[in-house]
Amino acid sequence: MSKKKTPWQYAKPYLFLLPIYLLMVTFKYIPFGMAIQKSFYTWNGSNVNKFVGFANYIQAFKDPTFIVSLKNVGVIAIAYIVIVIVIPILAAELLYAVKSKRKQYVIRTAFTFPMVVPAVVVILLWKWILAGDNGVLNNVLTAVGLDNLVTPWLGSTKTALGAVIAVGFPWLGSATLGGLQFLLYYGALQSTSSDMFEAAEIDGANIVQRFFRIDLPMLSSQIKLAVTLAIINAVQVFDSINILTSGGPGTATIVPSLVLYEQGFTYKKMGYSSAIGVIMFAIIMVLTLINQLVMKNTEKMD
Amino acid sequence: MSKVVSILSRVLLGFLLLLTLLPFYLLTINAFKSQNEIILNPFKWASNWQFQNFVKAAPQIFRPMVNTLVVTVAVIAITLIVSLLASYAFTRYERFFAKEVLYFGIVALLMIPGFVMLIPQFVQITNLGLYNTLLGLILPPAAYQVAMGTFLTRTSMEGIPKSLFEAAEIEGANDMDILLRVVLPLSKPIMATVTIMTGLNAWNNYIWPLVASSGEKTQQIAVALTKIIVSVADGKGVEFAAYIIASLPLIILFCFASKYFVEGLTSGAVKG
Repeated sequence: MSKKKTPWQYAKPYLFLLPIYLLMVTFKYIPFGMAIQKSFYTWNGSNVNKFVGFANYIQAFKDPTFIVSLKNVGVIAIAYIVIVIVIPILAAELLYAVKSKRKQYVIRTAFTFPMVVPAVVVILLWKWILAGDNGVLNNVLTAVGLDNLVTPWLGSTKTALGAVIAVGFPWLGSATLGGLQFLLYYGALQSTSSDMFEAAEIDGANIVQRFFRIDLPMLSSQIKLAVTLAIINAVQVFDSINILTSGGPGTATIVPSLVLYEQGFTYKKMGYSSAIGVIMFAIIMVLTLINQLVMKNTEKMD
Repeated sequence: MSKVVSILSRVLLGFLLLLTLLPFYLLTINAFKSQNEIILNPFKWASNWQFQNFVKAAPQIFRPMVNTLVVTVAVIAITLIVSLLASYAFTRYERFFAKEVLYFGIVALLMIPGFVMLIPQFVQITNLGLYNTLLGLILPPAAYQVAMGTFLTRTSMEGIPKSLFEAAEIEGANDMDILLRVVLPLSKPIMATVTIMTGLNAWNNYIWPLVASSGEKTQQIAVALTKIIVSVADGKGVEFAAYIIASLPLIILFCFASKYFVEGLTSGAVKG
Protein backbone atom coordinates (compact mmCIF):
# COMPACT_ATOMS: atom_id res chain seq x y z
CA MET A 1 0.00 0.00 0.00
CA SER A 2 1.73 3.14 -1.12
CA LYS A 3 0.26 6.41 -0.02
CA LYS A 4 1.40 9.57 -1.63
CA LYS A 5 3.01 11.70 1.00
CA THR A 6 2.37 15.39 1.07
CA PRO A 7 5.30 17.71 1.92
CA TRP A 8 3.60 18.25 5.26
CA GLN A 9 3.85 14.56 6.04
CA TYR A 10 7.52 14.55 5.12
CA ALA A 11 8.12 17.44 7.48
CA LYS A 12 6.23 15.98 10.43
CA PRO A 13 8.94 13.87 12.14
CA TYR A 14 11.33 16.80 11.88
CA LEU A 15 8.77 19.07 13.51
CA PHE A 16 8.59 16.70 16.48
CA LEU A 17 12.38 16.86 16.72
CA LEU A 18 12.52 20.63 16.45
CA PRO A 19 12.15 21.43 20.19
CA ILE A 20 14.89 19.04 21.31
CA TYR A 21 17.33 20.22 18.66
CA LEU A 22 16.60 23.88 19.36
CA LEU A 23 17.33 23.31 23.04
CA MET A 24 20.37 21.07 22.62
CA VAL A 25 22.07 22.99 19.83
CA THR A 26 21.57 26.36 21.52
CA PHE A 27 22.61 25.40 25.03
CA LYS A 28 24.97 22.46 24.52
CA TYR A 29 26.41 21.99 21.04
CA ILE A 30 27.13 25.66 20.35
CA PRO A 31 28.88 26.06 23.73
CA PHE A 32 30.77 22.81 23.08
CA GLY A 33 32.00 24.06 19.71
CA MET A 34 32.84 27.38 21.28
CA ALA A 35 34.88 25.65 24.02
CA ILE A 36 36.99 23.89 21.41
CA GLN A 37 37.42 27.06 19.36
CA LYS A 38 38.21 29.31 22.32
CA SER A 39 40.77 26.85 23.68
CA PHE A 40 43.00 28.24 20.90
CA TYR A 41 42.35 31.84 21.92
CA THR A 42 43.31 34.26 24.65
CA TRP A 43 39.80 35.13 25.76
CA ASN A 44 38.20 36.88 28.71
CA GLY A 45 34.63 36.34 27.60
CA SER A 46 34.31 39.74 25.93
CA ASN A 47 36.82 42.23 24.50
CA VAL A 48 40.07 40.22 24.72
CA ASN A 49 39.85 37.60 21.98
CA LYS A 50 43.04 36.67 20.14
CA PHE A 51 44.07 33.47 18.35
CA VAL A 52 47.13 31.94 19.99
CA GLY A 53 47.32 28.45 18.49
CA PHE A 54 48.30 25.75 20.95
CA ALA A 55 49.65 28.22 23.53
CA ASN A 56 46.92 27.42 26.09
CA TYR A 57 47.62 23.71 25.87
CA ILE A 58 51.37 24.23 26.17
CA GLN A 59 50.78 26.51 29.14
CA ALA A 60 48.57 23.90 30.80
CA PHE A 61 51.22 21.20 30.68
CA LYS A 62 53.81 23.65 32.03
CA ASP A 63 51.52 24.80 34.85
CA PRO A 64 52.63 23.00 38.04
CA THR A 65 49.16 23.40 39.59
CA PHE A 66 47.50 21.70 36.63
CA ILE A 67 50.07 18.89 36.68
CA VAL A 68 49.37 18.31 40.39
CA SER A 69 45.65 18.36 39.65
CA LEU A 70 46.12 15.60 37.08
CA LYS A 71 48.09 13.55 39.59
CA ASN A 72 45.39 14.03 42.23
CA VAL A 73 42.61 13.13 39.84
CA GLY A 74 44.59 10.01 38.89
CA VAL A 75 44.67 8.97 42.55
CA ILE A 76 40.95 9.71 42.89
CA ALA A 77 40.12 7.76 39.73
CA ILE A 78 42.05 4.68 40.87
CA ALA A 79 40.40 4.88 44.30
CA TYR A 80 36.93 5.26 42.75
CA ILE A 81 37.49 2.32 40.39
CA VAL A 82 38.54 0.07 43.27
CA ILE A 83 35.64 1.32 45.40
CA VAL A 84 32.91 0.75 42.79
CA ILE A 85 34.13 -2.76 42.06
CA VAL A 86 34.80 -4.08 45.55
CA ILE A 87 32.28 -2.67 48.01
CA PRO A 88 29.02 -2.60 46.01
CA ILE A 89 29.58 -6.18 44.75
CA LEU A 90 30.25 -7.31 48.30
CA ALA A 91 27.10 -5.59 49.57
CA ALA A 92 25.00 -6.91 46.67
CA GLU A 93 26.18 -10.48 47.30
CA LEU A 94 25.53 -10.17 51.03
CA LEU A 95 22.06 -8.81 50.40
CA TYR A 96 21.30 -11.46 47.78
CA ALA A 97 22.28 -14.13 50.30
CA VAL A 98 19.55 -12.95 52.71
CA LYS A 99 16.87 -15.64 52.51
CA SER A 100 13.63 -13.69 52.86
CA LYS A 101 12.66 -11.59 49.83
CA ARG A 102 10.83 -9.17 52.10
CA LYS A 103 13.92 -8.55 54.19
CA GLN A 104 15.95 -8.07 51.01
CA TYR A 105 13.49 -5.40 49.90
CA VAL A 106 13.56 -3.58 53.24
CA ILE A 107 17.36 -3.60 53.42
CA ARG A 108 17.68 -2.42 49.82
CA THR A 109 15.28 0.43 50.53
CA ALA A 110 17.32 1.37 53.61
CA PHE A 111 20.45 1.54 51.45
CA THR A 112 18.62 3.59 48.79
CA PHE A 113 17.27 6.17 51.23
CA PRO A 114 20.56 8.12 51.64
CA MET A 115 20.75 8.50 47.86
CA VAL A 116 17.78 10.87 47.90
CA VAL A 117 19.41 13.16 50.46
CA PRO A 118 20.93 16.06 48.49
CA ALA A 119 24.59 15.38 47.72
CA VAL A 120 25.58 18.75 49.20
CA VAL A 121 24.01 17.79 52.54
CA VAL A 122 26.09 14.60 52.61
CA ILE A 123 29.25 16.55 51.77
CA LEU A 124 28.55 19.11 54.52
CA LEU A 125 27.88 16.33 57.02
CA TRP A 126 31.24 14.78 56.21
CA LYS A 127 32.89 18.17 56.56
CA TRP A 128 31.71 18.03 60.17
CA ILE A 129 32.65 14.38 60.65
CA LEU A 130 36.22 15.00 59.37
CA ALA A 131 36.67 18.40 61.02
CA GLY A 132 39.77 18.99 63.14
CA ASP A 133 37.99 20.67 66.07
CA ASN A 134 34.94 18.84 67.41
CA GLY A 135 34.86 16.57 64.38
CA VAL A 136 32.97 13.33 64.95
CA LEU A 137 35.84 11.11 63.81
CA ASN A 138 38.33 12.81 66.11
CA ASN A 139 35.82 12.56 68.98
CA VAL A 140 35.52 8.82 68.43
CA LEU A 141 39.29 8.39 68.21
CA THR A 142 39.75 10.27 71.48
CA ALA A 143 37.01 8.26 73.16
CA VAL A 144 38.63 4.94 72.29
CA GLY A 145 42.07 6.09 73.33
CA LEU A 146 43.60 6.61 69.90
CA ASP A 147 44.46 10.25 70.61
CA ASN A 148 47.66 10.01 68.62
CA LEU A 149 45.61 9.55 65.42
CA VAL A 150 43.61 12.75 65.96
CA THR A 151 44.33 15.16 63.13
CA PRO A 152 42.58 17.84 61.06
CA TRP A 153 41.78 15.35 58.30
CA LEU A 154 40.83 17.93 55.68
CA GLY A 155 43.39 20.49 56.78
CA SER A 156 46.55 18.44 56.70
CA THR A 157 48.50 17.98 53.48
CA LYS A 158 49.09 14.32 54.26
CA THR A 159 45.47 13.30 54.82
CA ALA A 160 43.39 15.79 52.81
CA LEU A 161 43.20 13.84 49.54
CA GLY A 162 42.39 10.60 51.35
CA ALA A 163 39.78 12.40 53.44
CA VAL A 164 38.08 13.83 50.36
CA ILE A 165 37.89 10.33 48.85
CA ALA A 166 36.59 8.91 52.15
CA VAL A 167 33.51 11.17 52.06
CA GLY A 168 30.45 8.95 52.09
CA PHE A 169 32.25 5.85 53.43
CA PRO A 170 31.29 2.99 52.82
CA TRP A 171 29.87 4.76 49.77
CA LEU A 172 26.80 2.56 49.51
CA GLY A 173 24.47 5.48 50.14
CA SER A 174 26.11 7.62 47.47
CA ALA A 175 24.07 7.91 44.28
CA THR A 176 27.13 8.46 42.11
CA LEU A 177 29.85 6.40 43.73
CA GLY A 178 28.81 3.14 45.36
CA GLY A 179 25.05 3.09 45.83
CA LEU A 180 24.13 3.21 42.20
CA GLN A 181 26.54 0.39 41.41
CA PHE A 182 25.15 -1.57 44.35
CA LEU A 183 21.65 -1.29 42.87
CA LEU A 184 22.93 -2.33 39.44
CA TYR A 185 24.81 -5.39 40.74
CA TYR A 186 21.97 -6.42 43.00
CA GLY A 187 19.49 -6.04 40.13
CA ALA A 188 21.68 -8.25 37.94
CA LEU A 189 21.94 -10.95 40.61
CA GLN A 190 18.19 -10.84 41.14
CA SER A 191 17.42 -11.25 37.46
CA THR A 192 19.52 -14.40 37.05
CA SER A 193 17.74 -17.66 37.48
CA SER A 194 18.58 -19.38 40.73
CA ASP A 195 19.08 -22.65 38.81
CA MET A 196 22.60 -21.61 37.96
CA PHE A 197 23.53 -21.09 41.59
CA GLU A 198 21.85 -24.36 42.57
CA ALA A 199 23.68 -26.24 39.84
CA ALA A 200 26.96 -24.86 41.09
CA GLU A 201 26.08 -25.95 44.61
CA ILE A 202 25.25 -29.48 43.45
CA ASP A 203 28.56 -29.63 41.59
CA GLY A 204 30.21 -28.97 44.93
CA ALA A 205 31.47 -25.48 44.18
CA ASN A 206 32.19 -23.51 47.32
CA ILE A 207 31.23 -19.87 47.76
CA VAL A 208 34.56 -18.52 46.53
CA GLN A 209 34.55 -20.74 43.42
CA ARG A 210 30.94 -19.84 42.68
CA PHE A 211 31.73 -16.14 43.01
CA PHE A 212 34.66 -16.15 40.61
CA ARG A 213 33.28 -18.68 38.10
CA ILE A 214 29.65 -17.60 37.93
CA ASP A 215 28.81 -14.32 39.64
CA LEU A 216 31.76 -12.24 38.52
CA PRO A 217 31.55 -13.11 34.79
CA MET A 218 27.80 -12.54 34.99
CA LEU A 219 28.31 -9.05 36.38
CA SER A 220 30.92 -8.07 33.80
CA SER A 221 28.70 -5.66 31.86
CA GLN A 222 27.62 -3.98 35.11
CA ILE A 223 31.26 -3.73 36.18
CA LYS A 224 32.16 -2.16 32.86
CA LEU A 225 29.42 0.43 33.34
CA ALA A 226 30.44 1.02 36.97
CA VAL A 227 34.06 1.61 35.99
CA THR A 228 33.06 3.96 33.16
CA LEU A 229 30.90 5.96 35.58
CA ALA A 230 33.68 5.99 38.18
CA ILE A 231 36.09 7.44 35.61
CA ILE A 232 33.63 10.11 34.48
CA ASN A 233 32.83 11.06 38.07
CA ALA A 234 36.47 11.08 39.12
CA VAL A 235 37.68 13.26 36.25
CA GLN A 236 34.84 15.73 36.86
CA VAL A 237 34.89 15.66 40.67
CA PHE A 238 34.13 19.18 41.86
CA ASP A 239 31.32 19.65 44.39
CA SER A 240 32.93 17.80 47.28
CA ILE A 241 36.36 19.34 46.78
CA ASN A 242 35.10 22.88 46.31
CA ILE A 243 33.00 22.61 49.48
CA LEU A 244 35.47 20.68 51.65
CA THR A 245 38.91 22.04 50.82
CA SER A 246 38.77 24.38 47.79
CA GLY A 247 41.72 22.36 46.52
CA GLY A 248 43.83 22.96 49.61
CA PRO A 249 45.76 22.87 51.82
CA GLY A 250 48.14 24.30 49.22
CA THR A 251 47.46 22.15 46.17
CA ALA A 252 46.93 18.91 48.12
CA THR A 253 43.44 18.33 46.74
CA ILE A 254 43.43 20.47 43.59
CA VAL A 255 41.64 18.84 40.63
CA PRO A 256 41.28 19.88 36.95
CA SER A 257 37.65 20.99 37.33
CA LEU A 258 38.68 23.36 40.11
CA VAL A 259 41.58 24.73 38.04
CA LEU A 260 39.10 25.26 35.19
CA TYR A 261 36.66 27.02 37.51
CA GLU A 262 39.26 29.27 39.11
CA GLN A 263 41.08 30.17 35.90
CA GLY A 264 37.81 30.89 34.14
CA PHE A 265 35.81 32.71 36.75
CA THR A 266 38.33 34.13 39.22
CA TYR A 267 41.04 35.11 36.74
CA LYS A 268 38.84 35.46 33.63
CA LYS A 269 41.36 33.40 31.59
CA MET A 270 38.51 31.78 29.72
CA GLY A 271 40.57 30.58 26.75
CA TYR A 272 43.01 28.78 29.03
CA SER A 273 40.11 27.46 31.07
CA SER A 274 38.44 26.11 27.91
CA ALA A 275 41.65 24.30 26.98
CA ILE A 276 41.59 22.56 30.38
CA GLY A 277 37.99 21.53 29.69
CA VAL A 278 38.98 20.05 26.33
CA ILE A 279 41.85 18.17 27.99
CA MET A 280 39.35 16.75 30.54
CA PHE A 281 37.09 15.70 27.68
CA ALA A 282 40.03 13.97 25.95
CA ILE A 283 41.06 12.19 29.16
CA ILE A 284 37.54 10.85 29.69
CA MET A 285 37.32 9.68 26.07
CA VAL A 286 40.68 7.89 26.20
CA LEU A 287 40.04 6.24 29.58
CA THR A 288 36.55 5.12 28.56
CA LEU A 289 37.97 3.62 25.39
CA ILE A 290 40.70 1.79 27.31
CA ASN A 291 38.05 0.49 29.72
CA GLN A 292 35.94 -0.77 26.82
CA LEU A 293 38.93 -2.57 25.31
CA VAL A 294 40.11 -4.09 28.59
CA MET A 295 36.64 -5.30 29.49
CA LYS A 296 36.14 -6.73 26.01
CA ASN A 297 39.28 -8.82 26.47
CA THR A 298 38.18 -10.16 29.83
CA GLU A 299 34.87 -11.15 28.28
CA LYS A 300 36.73 -13.12 25.62
CA MET A 301 38.69 -15.00 28.24
CA ASP A 302 35.63 -16.70 29.68
CA MET B 1 31.22 -23.99 58.03
CA SER B 2 28.35 -22.60 55.97
CA LYS B 3 26.58 -21.61 59.20
CA VAL B 4 29.58 -19.50 60.24
CA VAL B 5 29.77 -17.92 56.80
CA SER B 6 26.10 -17.10 56.87
CA ILE B 7 26.29 -15.48 60.32
CA LEU B 8 29.42 -13.56 59.37
CA SER B 9 27.81 -12.29 56.19
CA ARG B 10 24.75 -11.12 58.14
CA VAL B 11 26.97 -9.24 60.58
CA LEU B 12 28.97 -7.67 57.77
CA LEU B 13 25.82 -6.57 55.93
CA GLY B 14 24.43 -5.10 59.14
CA PHE B 15 27.69 -3.28 59.74
CA LEU B 16 27.68 -1.79 56.23
CA LEU B 17 24.08 -0.67 56.66
CA LEU B 18 24.87 0.84 60.05
CA LEU B 19 27.84 2.81 58.69
CA THR B 20 25.74 3.97 55.71
CA LEU B 21 22.93 5.27 57.89
CA LEU B 22 25.04 6.59 60.77
CA PRO B 23 25.66 10.10 59.32
CA PHE B 24 21.89 10.54 58.87
CA TYR B 25 21.24 9.44 62.45
CA LEU B 26 23.82 12.00 63.57
CA LEU B 27 22.22 14.65 61.37
CA THR B 28 18.76 14.00 62.75
CA ILE B 29 19.50 13.91 66.47
CA ASN B 30 21.98 16.78 66.42
CA ALA B 31 19.51 19.00 64.59
CA PHE B 32 17.56 19.07 67.86
CA LYS B 33 20.52 19.90 70.10
CA SER B 34 22.26 22.98 71.40
CA GLN B 35 25.90 23.52 70.42
CA ASN B 36 27.11 22.43 73.88
CA GLU B 37 25.26 19.17 73.70
CA ILE B 38 26.57 18.45 70.18
CA ILE B 39 30.17 18.95 71.26
CA LEU B 40 29.71 16.92 74.44
CA ASN B 41 28.59 13.78 72.62
CA PRO B 42 27.33 13.80 69.04
CA PHE B 43 26.05 10.23 69.31
CA LYS B 44 23.77 10.73 72.29
CA TRP B 45 20.02 11.24 72.02
CA ALA B 46 19.06 14.87 72.61
CA SER B 47 18.28 15.56 76.26
CA ASN B 48 17.01 19.09 75.81
CA TRP B 49 15.15 19.23 72.51
CA GLN B 50 15.80 22.46 70.62
CA PHE B 51 12.88 22.75 68.26
CA GLN B 52 13.70 26.41 67.68
CA ASN B 53 16.70 25.24 65.60
CA PHE B 54 14.19 24.60 62.82
CA VAL B 55 12.45 27.94 63.36
CA LYS B 56 15.81 29.69 63.08
CA ALA B 57 16.92 27.71 60.00
CA ALA B 58 13.74 27.96 57.96
CA PRO B 59 13.90 31.66 56.96
CA GLN B 60 17.44 31.26 55.59
CA ILE B 61 16.54 28.51 53.18
CA PHE B 62 12.90 29.26 52.40
CA ARG B 63 13.62 31.51 49.42
CA PRO B 64 16.27 29.18 47.86
CA MET B 65 13.90 26.25 48.29
CA VAL B 66 11.09 28.03 46.45
CA ASN B 67 13.55 29.05 43.71
CA THR B 68 14.82 25.49 43.37
CA LEU B 69 11.30 24.11 43.33
CA VAL B 70 10.39 26.40 40.42
CA VAL B 71 13.54 25.40 38.53
CA THR B 72 13.06 21.69 39.26
CA VAL B 73 9.42 21.64 38.17
CA ALA B 74 10.27 23.57 35.00
CA VAL B 75 13.20 21.29 34.10
CA ILE B 76 11.00 18.22 34.65
CA ALA B 77 8.16 19.65 32.53
CA ILE B 78 10.48 20.63 29.66
CA THR B 79 12.25 17.27 29.80
CA LEU B 80 9.03 15.27 29.71
CA ILE B 81 7.38 17.24 26.90
CA VAL B 82 10.44 17.59 24.68
CA SER B 83 11.59 13.99 25.10
CA LEU B 84 8.14 12.56 24.47
CA LEU B 85 7.81 14.58 21.26
CA ALA B 86 11.26 13.46 20.09
CA SER B 87 10.61 9.81 20.95
CA TYR B 88 7.29 9.98 19.17
CA ALA B 89 9.09 11.03 15.98
CA PHE B 90 11.44 8.07 16.25
CA THR B 91 8.84 5.42 17.05
CA ARG B 92 5.84 6.60 15.01
CA TYR B 93 7.73 7.36 11.78
CA GLU B 94 9.46 4.23 10.64
CA ARG B 95 11.79 5.83 8.21
CA PHE B 96 12.69 9.36 7.41
CA PHE B 97 15.86 10.94 6.09
CA ALA B 98 18.74 10.97 8.61
CA LYS B 99 16.63 9.32 11.31
CA GLU B 100 19.39 7.46 13.11
CA VAL B 101 21.88 10.29 12.60
CA LEU B 102 19.43 12.59 14.35
CA TYR B 103 19.04 10.07 17.16
CA PHE B 104 22.79 9.76 17.55
CA GLY B 105 23.03 13.56 17.67
CA ILE B 106 20.83 13.44 20.75
CA VAL B 107 22.43 10.62 22.73
CA ALA B 108 25.98 11.69 21.81
CA LEU B 109 25.49 14.64 24.15
CA LEU B 110 25.51 12.22 27.06
CA MET B 111 29.15 11.42 26.33
CA ILE B 112 30.38 15.01 26.62
CA PRO B 113 31.40 15.99 30.15
CA GLY B 114 29.50 19.06 31.33
CA PHE B 115 32.64 20.87 32.45
CA VAL B 116 33.86 21.36 28.87
CA MET B 117 30.92 23.64 28.14
CA LEU B 118 30.86 25.46 31.48
CA ILE B 119 32.69 28.61 30.44
CA PRO B 120 31.01 29.18 27.03
CA GLN B 121 27.62 28.42 28.60
CA PHE B 122 28.22 31.10 31.19
CA VAL B 123 29.27 33.64 28.53
CA GLN B 124 26.27 32.63 26.44
CA ILE B 125 23.62 33.12 29.10
CA THR B 126 25.26 36.39 30.07
CA ASN B 127 25.02 37.57 26.45
CA LEU B 128 21.40 36.42 26.27
CA GLY B 129 20.61 38.43 29.40
CA LEU B 130 19.77 35.24 31.30
CA TYR B 131 22.48 35.55 33.95
CA ASN B 132 20.96 35.39 37.43
CA THR B 133 17.48 34.60 36.10
CA LEU B 134 15.45 31.48 36.73
CA LEU B 135 15.29 30.86 32.97
CA GLY B 136 19.09 30.83 32.85
CA LEU B 137 19.07 28.19 35.58
CA ILE B 138 16.42 26.13 33.79
CA LEU B 139 17.36 25.98 30.11
CA PRO B 140 20.98 24.72 30.06
CA PRO B 141 20.35 21.85 32.52
CA ALA B 142 17.11 21.01 30.69
CA ALA B 143 19.08 20.81 27.43
CA TYR B 144 21.09 17.99 28.98
CA GLN B 145 18.16 16.19 30.62
CA VAL B 146 16.17 15.98 27.36
CA ALA B 147 18.92 13.81 25.87
CA MET B 148 18.67 11.34 28.75
CA GLY B 149 14.88 11.60 28.66
CA THR B 150 14.70 10.82 24.95
CA PHE B 151 17.04 7.87 25.35
CA LEU B 152 14.78 6.39 28.04
CA THR B 153 11.38 7.21 26.53
CA ARG B 154 12.30 5.99 23.06
CA THR B 155 13.30 2.59 24.41
CA SER B 156 10.03 2.34 26.29
CA MET B 157 7.88 3.70 23.46
CA GLU B 158 9.28 1.16 21.00
CA GLY B 159 7.50 -1.40 23.16
CA ILE B 160 4.05 -0.04 22.30
CA PRO B 161 2.46 -2.32 19.66
CA LYS B 162 2.40 -0.66 16.25
CA SER B 163 -1.15 -1.96 15.75
CA LEU B 164 -2.37 0.49 18.40
CA PHE B 165 -1.08 3.41 16.35
CA GLU B 166 -2.64 2.02 13.19
CA ALA B 167 -5.98 1.38 14.84
CA ALA B 168 -6.05 4.93 16.17
CA GLU B 169 -5.16 6.28 12.76
CA ILE B 170 -7.96 4.35 11.07
CA GLU B 171 -10.38 5.84 13.55
CA GLY B 172 -9.23 9.23 12.31
CA ALA B 173 -6.98 10.21 15.20
CA ASN B 174 -4.31 12.81 14.42
CA ASP B 175 -0.84 12.93 15.99
CA MET B 176 -1.99 14.94 18.99
CA ASP B 177 -4.79 12.43 19.72
CA ILE B 178 -2.40 9.51 19.44
CA LEU B 179 0.16 11.19 21.69
CA LEU B 180 -2.34 12.13 24.37
CA ARG B 181 -4.68 9.12 24.25
CA VAL B 182 -2.39 6.23 23.26
CA VAL B 183 1.23 7.10 24.05
CA LEU B 184 0.78 9.07 27.25
CA PRO B 185 -1.27 6.51 29.22
CA LEU B 186 1.13 3.72 28.21
CA SER B 187 4.22 5.76 29.09
CA LYS B 188 3.33 6.57 32.68
CA PRO B 189 5.96 4.30 34.31
CA ILE B 190 8.84 5.61 32.19
CA MET B 191 7.62 9.16 32.75
CA ALA B 192 7.74 8.56 36.51
CA THR B 193 11.30 7.28 36.17
CA VAL B 194 12.35 10.28 34.05
CA THR B 195 10.63 12.67 36.47
CA ILE B 196 12.50 11.28 39.47
CA MET B 197 15.84 11.19 37.71
CA THR B 198 15.46 14.72 36.37
CA GLY B 199 14.12 15.97 39.69
CA LEU B 200 17.06 14.55 41.63
CA ASN B 201 19.54 16.12 39.24
CA ALA B 202 17.82 19.51 39.27
CA TRP B 203 17.41 19.64 43.06
CA ASN B 204 21.05 18.55 43.59
CA ASN B 205 22.59 20.80 40.96
CA TYR B 206 25.47 22.72 42.52
CA ILE B 207 27.96 23.79 39.86
CA TRP B 208 25.58 25.49 37.43
CA PRO B 209 23.81 27.64 40.07
CA LEU B 210 27.24 28.47 41.48
CA VAL B 211 28.16 29.89 38.07
CA ALA B 212 24.85 31.22 36.74
CA SER B 213 23.32 32.82 39.82
CA SER B 214 24.40 35.28 42.47
CA GLY B 215 22.61 36.74 45.43
CA GLU B 216 19.27 35.89 46.94
CA LYS B 217 17.01 36.49 43.95
CA THR B 218 17.64 33.19 42.20
CA GLN B 219 19.81 31.35 44.74
CA GLN B 220 19.43 27.56 44.57
CA ILE B 221 19.26 25.27 47.60
CA ALA B 222 22.54 23.37 47.04
CA VAL B 223 24.49 26.62 47.02
CA ALA B 224 22.44 28.17 49.84
CA LEU B 225 23.20 25.24 52.16
CA THR B 226 26.92 25.92 51.89
CA LYS B 227 26.37 29.55 52.88
CA ILE B 228 24.19 29.24 55.95
CA ILE B 229 25.18 31.72 58.60
CA VAL B 230 24.67 30.76 62.22
CA SER B 231 25.65 32.62 65.36
CA VAL B 232 28.09 30.97 67.75
CA ALA B 233 25.29 30.60 70.28
CA ASP B 234 22.98 28.84 67.82
CA GLY B 235 25.68 26.49 66.64
CA LYS B 236 25.64 23.56 64.28
CA GLY B 237 22.15 22.45 65.31
CA VAL B 238 20.62 25.21 63.20
CA GLU B 239 22.74 24.18 60.19
CA PHE B 240 21.62 20.58 60.60
CA ALA B 241 18.00 21.68 60.85
CA ALA B 242 18.43 23.49 57.53
CA TYR B 243 19.92 20.35 55.94
CA ILE B 244 16.91 18.34 57.07
CA ILE B 245 14.38 20.85 55.75
CA ALA B 246 16.22 20.95 52.41
CA SER B 247 16.14 17.16 52.15
CA LEU B 248 12.45 16.79 52.99
CA PRO B 249 10.91 17.29 49.52
CA LEU B 250 12.88 14.41 48.02
CA ILE B 251 12.47 12.21 51.09
CA ILE B 252 8.70 12.66 51.04
CA LEU B 253 8.66 11.83 47.33
CA PHE B 254 10.83 8.79 48.04
CA CYS B 255 8.34 7.48 50.60
CA PHE B 256 5.59 7.46 47.98
CA ALA B 257 7.58 6.23 45.00
CA SER B 258 10.63 4.30 46.16
CA LYS B 259 10.22 1.85 43.27
CA TYR B 260 10.57 4.64 40.73
CA PHE B 261 13.53 6.04 42.64
CA VAL B 262 15.45 2.82 42.21
CA GLU B 263 14.60 2.85 38.51
CA GLY B 264 15.31 6.55 38.16
CA LEU B 265 18.70 6.18 39.81
CA THR B 266 19.77 3.11 37.88
CA SER B 267 18.48 4.02 34.43
CA GLY B 268 20.33 7.32 34.68
CA ALA B 269 23.48 5.27 34.89
CA VAL B 270 23.36 4.38 31.23
CA LYS B 271 24.87 7.75 30.40
CA GLY B 272 28.56 7.85 29.62
